[in-house]
Amino acid sequence: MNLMEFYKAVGGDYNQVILRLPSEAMIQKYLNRFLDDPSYGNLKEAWEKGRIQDAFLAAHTLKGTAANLGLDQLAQAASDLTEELRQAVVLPSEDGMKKVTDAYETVRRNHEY
Amino acid sequence: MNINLTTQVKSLKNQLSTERKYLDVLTQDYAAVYHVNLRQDTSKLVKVDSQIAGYDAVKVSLRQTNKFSERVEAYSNKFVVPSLREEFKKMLTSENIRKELEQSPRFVYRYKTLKLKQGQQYFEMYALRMSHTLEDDNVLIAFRHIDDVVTTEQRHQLELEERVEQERNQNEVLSALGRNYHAIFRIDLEDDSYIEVVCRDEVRHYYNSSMPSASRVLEEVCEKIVDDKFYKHMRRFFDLNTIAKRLQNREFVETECVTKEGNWHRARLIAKRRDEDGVVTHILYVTQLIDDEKQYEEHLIAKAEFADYANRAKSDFVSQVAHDIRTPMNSIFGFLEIAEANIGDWEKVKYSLERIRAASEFLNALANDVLDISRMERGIIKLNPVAFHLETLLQELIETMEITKKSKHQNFCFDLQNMTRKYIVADPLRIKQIYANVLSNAMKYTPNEGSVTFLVRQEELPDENKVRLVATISDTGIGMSEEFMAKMFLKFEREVDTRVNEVNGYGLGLSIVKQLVELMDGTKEIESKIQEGTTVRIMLDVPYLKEEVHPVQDTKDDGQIECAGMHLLVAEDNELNREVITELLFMHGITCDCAEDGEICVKMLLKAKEDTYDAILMDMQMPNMNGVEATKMIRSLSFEKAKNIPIVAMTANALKEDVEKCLSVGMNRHLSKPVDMGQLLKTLTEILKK
Repeated sequence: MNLMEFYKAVGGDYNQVILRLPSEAMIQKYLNRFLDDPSYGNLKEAWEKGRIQDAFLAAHTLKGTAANLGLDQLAQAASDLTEELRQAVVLPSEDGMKKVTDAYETVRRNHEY
Repeated sequence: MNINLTTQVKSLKNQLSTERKYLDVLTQDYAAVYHVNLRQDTSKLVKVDSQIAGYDAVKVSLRQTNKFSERVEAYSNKFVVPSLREEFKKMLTSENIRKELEQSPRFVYRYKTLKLKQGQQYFEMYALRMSHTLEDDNVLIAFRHIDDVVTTEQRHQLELEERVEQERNQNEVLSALGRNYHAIFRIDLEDDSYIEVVCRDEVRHYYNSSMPSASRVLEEVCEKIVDDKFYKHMRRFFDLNTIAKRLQNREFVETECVTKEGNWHRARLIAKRRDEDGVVTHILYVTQLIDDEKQYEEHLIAKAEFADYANRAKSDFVSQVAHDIRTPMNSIFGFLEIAEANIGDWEKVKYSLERIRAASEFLNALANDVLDISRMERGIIKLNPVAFHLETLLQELIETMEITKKSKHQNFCFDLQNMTRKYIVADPLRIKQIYANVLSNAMKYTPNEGSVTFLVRQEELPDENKVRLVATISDTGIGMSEEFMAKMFLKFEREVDTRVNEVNGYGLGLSIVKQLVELMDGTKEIESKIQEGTTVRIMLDVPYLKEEVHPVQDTKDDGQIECAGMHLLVAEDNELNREVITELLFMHGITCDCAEDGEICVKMLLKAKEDTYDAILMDMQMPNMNGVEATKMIRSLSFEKAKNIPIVAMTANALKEDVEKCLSVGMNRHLSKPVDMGQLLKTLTEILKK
């Protein structure tokens, strides 16, 4: 799978990202770094323990990095979750978190492939 | 009467005594003899040898009982070796003895006793019917020791086993040899006879085993098995008239040959026996298949040849490169002298400098190409695909080629066709390199007044993500021979050796083109005719950007120049994004320091000397202190620079009110995240101009 196909598979925007990060090598490098980044793990842990503020911060970070790498689908899911968490007093419904997890796993799976 | 009776008794006594003697003699071999009635289970001692083992015990048991079974029991418990006791008792039951004697007149059973004082150990029991039938159940049972018999038998047995073992060993040796050798023959040189020791079926297949002589067999091997090329050689090798002489001072002679089937064989003649004078009288002929060895040997030879070839190619390369370096070097030295000698003559100096520059550029290009080739050879070169505007790249290329063109009066034609995809994703440097190499060759080998055409067109592909880029470069130059075209892509190959020719070049260009095109999964076609010209066509399938994207690179070049050397402070809480922006800025000659949140950003600005930072890039959402608060604080600081330092806000999903808020607290500009470098550079340029 080349990078273009990867972006198609994960619901990202290759055209947009190749214009911003000017080489595939650089995109590839930061994709690797992204998957090593603890934000998603932090989000998951905070969510499971019901720590809303931590979950908010982690979702916010995830949103920023995903957007920077053109992983639009994941960035959108993380953004929605961030907004839900921003005003939340109790943990919101599972839906938002599930969307983030699905999008993140799609990225990881396709990247490994 | 009395006298008669007495005489009669006497005579009977004599007779008895005589019979007794006969009996003693007859039974002298036996240690003990019993008369046993199998039905009544009674036994009566007929004779016992007081010297015999167990005599005392026998006496005791005799006193205790006359029952046969009880005596057997007592005897066996006392004397028979434990491992045989049960068997002994079973053998000596009345039933068993009767059964045995019903089938034959006598029954023999051997057994072993515990070691006795006298040293005897092996005994034989011998049971005999007392009448022709067993009707009266009377039998004689005798025992004798048989150590001497057993010892002899055991010795024989041992000898037999040894011989079998020897035989087996020999067989193993032969079969091991047979696995290694196709055939082993023992040859008697004195009478030219032979014995086949080992002979695999595939060998036997070739000769008739009833051949009269060894030399005939070997002749047959030469004729039927050996390949014609080796026939004479093998006939000489197999010559039994000379073998004794050949083996005079050595133990074997050997040779290798190919069979008619194409297999490699090794044949050996080994000295087996010599007479008193040391002359060989018997030999062994062995032959084995050595294909694997030969293949390995050939593999090594091929490797060595290849290494040799590569080495020669490298030497040629060094020689050619040295030559190619010397020409421009000479020209540099020459024009330096001219310039020095005419230092006041502005025109001459200028001309010399131009020539020196041209020569230097040639040297530089040569060095780059040599490096590229060596990198490609080691597989180090990797493509770095980026999105770029194809036409711009081609125009740049043509401009650089103009320099080459100017020196000659050639017609140059450049045309683009069907360029539907403006932006393609590929490695622009390498694409340039491919076209430039082919173009410069075309120009180099096309004389004045000739023409060079460079045509690029795009073709649609079934893969909707890619477009085919077809570049056609044709010239009316000197052309190439078919012979040369076959090897033209090898390194350092030139149709005309520059060492004897005017044309400059070092023969690496086409090799680089070939490797780069392959690296890009592209293809190339070449047509050429001597004195008519050459056409090279290069096809590359590359991804392209969809039309709806509007790249903002138009201003990039300006921005890049003006922003280079800036030093920024970047406030961004996301570590990965910090890294990305740092690298992107660095690529445009801009350095930066990073702060993890608004608070740190303010502290860093306070600590830094004035004029350290040209601008601040401020993320809006950060922990501890967000962008708005940080900006407010910075603007409220007392020193002049803090009031005026440009602050560019970076916001994700920016809403109108967010943007307004940014500007209201004193930020100068606003960019949406993720930040596009083109826009950022444009913004920075504008700020700088103010």
